[in-house]
Amino acid sequence: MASVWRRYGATASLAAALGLGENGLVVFGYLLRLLRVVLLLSLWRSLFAGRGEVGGLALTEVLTYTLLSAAFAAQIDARTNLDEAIWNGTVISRLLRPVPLFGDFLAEMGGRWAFGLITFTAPLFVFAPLLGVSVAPRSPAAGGLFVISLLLAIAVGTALDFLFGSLIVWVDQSLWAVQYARAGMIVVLSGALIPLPLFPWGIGTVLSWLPFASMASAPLLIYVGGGGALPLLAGQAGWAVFLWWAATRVWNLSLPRMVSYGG
Amino acid sequence: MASPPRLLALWGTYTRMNLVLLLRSKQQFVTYIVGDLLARAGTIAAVLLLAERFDGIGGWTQGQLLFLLGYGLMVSGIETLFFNYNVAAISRRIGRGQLDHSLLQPQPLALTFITEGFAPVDALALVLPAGVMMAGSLAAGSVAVTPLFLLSLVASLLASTVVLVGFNFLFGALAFWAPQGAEELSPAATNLLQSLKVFPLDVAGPGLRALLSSVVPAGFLAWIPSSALLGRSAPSAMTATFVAAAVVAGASTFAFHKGLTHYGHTGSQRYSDFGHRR
Repeated sequence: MASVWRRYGATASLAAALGLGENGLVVFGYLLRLLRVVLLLSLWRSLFAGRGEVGGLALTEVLTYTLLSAAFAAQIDARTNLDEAIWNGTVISRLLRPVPLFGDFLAEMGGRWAFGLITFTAPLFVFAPLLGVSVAPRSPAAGGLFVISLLLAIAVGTALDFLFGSLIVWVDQSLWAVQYARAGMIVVLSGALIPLPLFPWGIGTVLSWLPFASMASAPLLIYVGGGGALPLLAGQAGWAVFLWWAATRVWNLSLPRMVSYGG
Repeated sequence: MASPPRLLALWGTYTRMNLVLLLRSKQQFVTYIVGDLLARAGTIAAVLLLAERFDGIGGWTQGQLLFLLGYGLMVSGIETLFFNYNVAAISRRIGRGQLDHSLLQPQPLALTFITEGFAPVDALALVLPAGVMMAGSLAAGSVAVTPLFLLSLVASLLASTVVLVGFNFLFGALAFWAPQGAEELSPAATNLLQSLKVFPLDVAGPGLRALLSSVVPAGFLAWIPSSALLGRSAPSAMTATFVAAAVVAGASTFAFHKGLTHYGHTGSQRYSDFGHRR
C-alpha cells in the first residue's frame, strides 16, 4: 500500500515539475486569467452599483466568490488527462503501469495543481486587497467547511471526468467536440462564471440540483455564506458517491471496448 | 499569391473534405455541430440572463447585447470558416512540427494557411445562430439597416476576424523558439479573447478598457465595432477596428517571419528520437 502511494507521489512530482514548461511561458497564461478576473470584478461592480443584495448576495460576497472561482478554477473543474490519453493512445502505456489507472491520473492531476496553487492561487489571495476584494471567509467555520466542500467538488468533478472519458470510448467520436461542449456548458451550469442565485426566473434553483453545481457553486457559496452549508455538503456527498459508483461501473464496461489509434 | 480560380478550386476541395469528415456518420455530424454550438451557447445564455436580471449591462439593452453577442459569435464563425483544423491555433502546428507538412507543399505558405483550414460545414453551427441573433436584434429597429450599414457590418466583421487570427499568430509565433512551452499559447490567447469579448467593456474602468483595446485587443472582437454600428459611439470609432486589424496583421506577419527564419536554422524535433511528442 505504502509503495503505491510512493508511486503516486513520484507521478505527482513529475507532473508538478512539468508545470514550469519550457521557459516559464506558463506565466503568460496566468496573466491572461488575471485580466479576466479584473474584468469580471468590474462587471459585478457595475451591475451592483446602487443596489443592495441581489438573489441574497451582496456585492462584497459576489466579488469574493468571483476571485475564489478564479483562484481555484482547476479544482472546481477538475480534469485528468484521461480523455486525451484515450484519444492519443497513451492510455495503453498507462494501463501497463503498476498502479491503479484512476489513481495514476489523479496523482498526475494533483501534481499539476501544486504548481498552479503556488504560482497563481497563492499570489491572487495575497494581492486580492489590491483588487478591492476581501478573501476572508464568512466565518472560520465557513472556511473549514469550504475545504471539505472543495474536496467533495473535486470528487464530483473527477467522477464526471472519468464518465466523459468513458463516453469517448463508447461513441468513438471527436474528443475535441466533446471537450469544447463540456467546457462551454460546465462553466455556466456549475456557477463558476455567474453565481447561480443571480440567474433570473428561478433557473439557478433548478441548476443547483444538478451535479455541476456541486463542483463550483456549493463550495463558493459556503465560503461567502450565501447558502446553507449542510444541505450543500449533503448534496455534494450524494452526487460524489453516485457519480463515482457510476464512473467505476461505466469504465469497467468501457475498457474491453477501447481501441486506441495513437499518433 | 494564387489566382482566384486556384483559390476557389482549393476551397472547393477543402469543402468536400470537410463534408467527408463530418458526414462520415450521422453521429459524427451531430457531435461536431452540437459540440461547437454548446461550447458557445453557455456563455451567451449566461450574459443574456444576467442582462435580464439587471435590466441590461453597462448601459446596453438586452437587444443591443444580443447584437454584440451575435457579432462576437459571427467573428468566431468566420475564423472557423477560414482557419479551422489548427490553422488559427498555429502554435500547435509549430510546436508539434506539423508546419513541415505545410512547408513541403509546392505552393506558398500563405496560400496553405488561407485554404487548408476552410471548413464551411463546421462554421455553419456558428454563423447561422450568429446571423439569427444579429437579425433579431436589428429587427427591433434600433438602427436603420441601409446598404451602407450592411457594408460597414461586413467590413467590420472581416477586420475583427483579422484581429483575432493575427493575435493568434502573433503569440503562436513564440512556438518557433519554445515549441513545447508555447504549443498551447494560440488556443490560450483565443480562449482569453473569446471569454472577454462577450462583455460590453463599458463596465471596465478607463485603464482596463485601454488595455483591452490595445495590447489585448478583445474590444475589437465585438464591443468597439458593435458600439459604432449601433450608434452608441461616434461613427469614426468604426475606423479603430480597421486600424487595429492593420496593426495586428503587420505585427503578426513580422513576428511569424522572424520565427520562420529562426526555424530555418533549428528545425523541428518531431521526427527525432528525443522529440517531446514521441
